[in-house]
Amino acid sequence: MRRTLLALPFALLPLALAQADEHQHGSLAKHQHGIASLNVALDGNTLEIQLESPAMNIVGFEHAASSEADQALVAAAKAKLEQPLQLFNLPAAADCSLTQSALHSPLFASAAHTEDAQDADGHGHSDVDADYSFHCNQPDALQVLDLSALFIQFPATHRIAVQLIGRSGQQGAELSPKMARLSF
Amino acid sequence: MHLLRIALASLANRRFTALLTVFAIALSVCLLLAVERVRTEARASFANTISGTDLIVGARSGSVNLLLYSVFRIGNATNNIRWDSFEHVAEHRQVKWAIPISLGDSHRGYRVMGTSPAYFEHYRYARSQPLNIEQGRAFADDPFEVVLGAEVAQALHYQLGEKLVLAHGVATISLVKHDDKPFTVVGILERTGTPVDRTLHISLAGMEALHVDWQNGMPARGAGVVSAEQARTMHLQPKAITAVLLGLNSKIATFSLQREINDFRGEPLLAILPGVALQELWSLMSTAEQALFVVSLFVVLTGLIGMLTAILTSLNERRREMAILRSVGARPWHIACLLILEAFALALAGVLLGLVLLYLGIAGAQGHVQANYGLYLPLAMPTRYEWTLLGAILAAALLMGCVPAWRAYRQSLADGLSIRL
Repeated sequence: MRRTLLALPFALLPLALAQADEHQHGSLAKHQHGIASLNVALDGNTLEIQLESPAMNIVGFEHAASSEADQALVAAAKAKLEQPLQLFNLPAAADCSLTQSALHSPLFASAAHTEDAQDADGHGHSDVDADYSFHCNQPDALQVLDLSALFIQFPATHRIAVQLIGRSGQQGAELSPKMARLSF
Repeated sequence: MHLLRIALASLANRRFTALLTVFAIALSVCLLLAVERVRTEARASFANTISGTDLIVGARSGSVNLLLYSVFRIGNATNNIRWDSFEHVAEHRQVKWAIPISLGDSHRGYRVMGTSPAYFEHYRYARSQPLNIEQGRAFADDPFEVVLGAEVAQALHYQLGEKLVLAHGVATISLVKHDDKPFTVVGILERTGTPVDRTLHISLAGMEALHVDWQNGMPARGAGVVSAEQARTMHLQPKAITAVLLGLNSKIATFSLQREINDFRGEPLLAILPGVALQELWSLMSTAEQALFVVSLFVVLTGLIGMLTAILTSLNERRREMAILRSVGARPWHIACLLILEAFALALAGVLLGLVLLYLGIAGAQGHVQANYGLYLPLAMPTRYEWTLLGAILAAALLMGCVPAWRAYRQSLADGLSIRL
């Protein structure tokens, strides 16, 4: 009896392997409603901003937009995200222009791909990722990162964990509507 | 001026209580300033330890944990990372330089770090200061060479060419020593005021050679033993390291590489920005710092209240003194001023004595604190913030002096002149 028991793990091994294959090995990203993360890097004339947020903070829901009202909300959120100069309150004196931007979210997928979108995250959570790259002619005018406009535009965002690389090196901070500024 | 002289003379008459009061204030001031000093210096020394490193990569744990063990030699790694993961990261096109770090052994309480020559070339501290070798050279091809931090060389009196034996593990008293493979001191680094001073640097090959014949976490016995000579001829390629410091070609690439490493599928890795992790550490520590600060503020307050009590209780005994002053022409407000001046003089003497105590304490403890905690406490003049604190203490003392002053003012109008013995 004992011998057979000893053999059991080996008998089950193929099963375990088969299951492991199906499994995603990459770890799951965290997803916490109300909290977004923002990476900002300034090097020479290049300014890069990456915003990663649960769709809940940006759109108000995380399922694929099927009704017309939902679609309107998605479109409104997308429009706000497509105006990064206003969203991040970049000073006009810095003379920044958007060189590249990319918006990713299962919610932004077109209607034809809604099924894909729903599969995006097994637990029904979805994120919004927005990456921007700017060219600033007067980078010295960038003194302060001011996120108050972002907090106003997306009121469901309560805290933003910021990682910033600026002139004085790396900084980390957690910004909130009350404390929405961080100096470069 | 006369008033001040009278106040001082009156104090001199009660010198024992006055001295005790001054001493109580001095101790509390010294404590407040010491807490403030240690706090700011700890921050400064932490912030000065690493510079120019864009990312630190280690096994997945917490960012503060990774920062503490990889840079500050505080605590231990949860896991090691594979050598091929290091190679994968180091060969990334955005990576300018990569410094592998391997920890785990020690020598008489000081940590031993295995690394590559890139460490001496690329590691920066304070404001982009490179590491300088004061004597000798960096370790070369021979695996059994060690470069000492300044503190290690000074505290243990090591010279170039000396041989030393490393211990397995990080306990101060270790039962397992690598005494079959002694290391030769080939270089001593200049003092940096960072944990580098308290580190012994060996090559990764040396680290590997120490453990090459180990089996099941114990040294080999009998035939399995690999001698130092045999180890020299072996191909000493480490299989695992503890952490990696990365410098990038462009700061802009930091975040994308961070994400790439955090999503690396071969092994759970964690990449952190040292500056961000440091700030996370501050926010963790700030609660404790504030608590310490509040406690020392209350100690100062206790000292001042002690002074107030001493003056108030003396008022009754001094009715005769006040009466005499009144009879020779002092007005009630003179008496009030006298008491305020007395309180001020006590507090000022307390503050000055507190400063003396602080500097004596720093001068006395400097070496010990640096050796044991890696914290350099300079004998610097008080900062502007410290002056503000001292000024606030004096102001509080003046304010407190008003209480006995008011009572004396009221009493001295008539009291004491009519004898009520």
